[in-house]
Amino acid sequence: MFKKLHKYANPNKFILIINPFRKIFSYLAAIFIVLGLVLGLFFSPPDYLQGETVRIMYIHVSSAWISLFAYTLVFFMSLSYLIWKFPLFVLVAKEIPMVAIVFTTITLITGSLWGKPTWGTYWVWDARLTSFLILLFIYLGLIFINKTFKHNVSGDLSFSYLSIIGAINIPIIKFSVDWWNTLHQPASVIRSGGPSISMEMLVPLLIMSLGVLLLFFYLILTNIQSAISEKKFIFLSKKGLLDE
Amino acid sequence: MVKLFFIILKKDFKDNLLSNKAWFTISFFLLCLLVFPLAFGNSQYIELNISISAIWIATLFANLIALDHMYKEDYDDGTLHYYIVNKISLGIVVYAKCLSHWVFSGLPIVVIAPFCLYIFSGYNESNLNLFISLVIATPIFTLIGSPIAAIMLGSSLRGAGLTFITLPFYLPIIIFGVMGTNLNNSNINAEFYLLLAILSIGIVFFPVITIKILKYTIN
Repeated sequence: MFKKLHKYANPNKFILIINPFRKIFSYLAAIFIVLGLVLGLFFSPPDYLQGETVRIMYIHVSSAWISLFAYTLVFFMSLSYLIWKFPLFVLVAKEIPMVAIVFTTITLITGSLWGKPTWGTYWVWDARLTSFLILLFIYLGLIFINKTFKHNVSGDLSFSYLSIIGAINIPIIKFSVDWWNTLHQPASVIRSGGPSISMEMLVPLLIMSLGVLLLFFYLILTNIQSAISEKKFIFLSKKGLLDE
Repeated sequence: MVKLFFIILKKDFKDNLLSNKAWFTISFFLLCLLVFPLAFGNSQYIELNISISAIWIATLFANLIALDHMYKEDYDDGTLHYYIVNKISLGIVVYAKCLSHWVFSGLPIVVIAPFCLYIFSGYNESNLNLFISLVIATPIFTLIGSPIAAIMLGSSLRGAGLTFITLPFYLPIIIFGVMGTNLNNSNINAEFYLLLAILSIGIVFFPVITIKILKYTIN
């Protein structure tokens, strides 16, 4: 199986198969997000404690999952680049922070809007919230280092190493609600002993997360396409081959 | 190999002592601390919590400022190049650098900080906690900073970028350090164990990454 995938590690080949996938992802993302929003906003029951505000969860939790998933993806892509030296991996990894930072910001904003009616404050300095804010700043740092070393190999390597150092934060975010007594509620979906959330809320949440995940892939693929074209353009103009 | 380590360490100590940079960190720390009583505006003791956080903030910024010239001079005058050409293992160099950097930017702060806490707040109880958490945390600052300082060697803008990128990585250490210093109950020292765990992972992990980064930066 890996032999078949091997040839797509070449950016020139990869750019050819991006386009159909991009279109499929965009349509599927639209369908799933609309379905998830409708199910979540109109058909799911209100919480017995929080009332109607619980509907913020469908956006908050799904974008939080995506922003954690995005960093994990950056980490594994950078690690693969450092091990196998395929330039495609770092091309993918370098495009992710720009998209992921949007999801991180959405998570923080919806979280604070949700916090006001349930906790009484927009912001508390508890472990989950603080570690998520640190994630935002790590994404900013990655974008910054991406801009300072543009178009050279040492920039790629710097980016990969920095993202590997920053990966220490991911387990801290995931387990912060279990390690400390925080105001943020503990994990209720992915935990030992099965989800503690009711089925009627879990289904729209999962549909919504799938939709956001597909949206994330769509945005990433679009960015990768433009990044590969940009790289090609720069390479050709350096060689003086760009006549048209 | 041990002999080589001490030769490089001696050279680093000499460089630090002869240049003004060794005294720059600690004087920056004291100057940064001076801002806090002035900012409060009255001539009384500051509260304990605030003076602890003031000391941690000053430590953080002193370390960040010192980080900029961790590898910079040796990179600029070609000493690191010389090490690689002569096949001196970069591991020795990195560990010697980290040690000398900690001795000149971490150790003075560790020694002075408990006195500063007493002068600031008039309390004596948290001094030991502050001392222990600073002793564990300042080497972690140096270790985390060393790969990032090495990364920024190749970039055109060093100082500001380095500060911006390094600060998020320091934040967990600050959180645990302040939690450890504020302990009321001295029987539970979970934060110290956590900091020690980070230190023992970092002492292996970060120098290895630094070696890799220095290798491609210099070539």
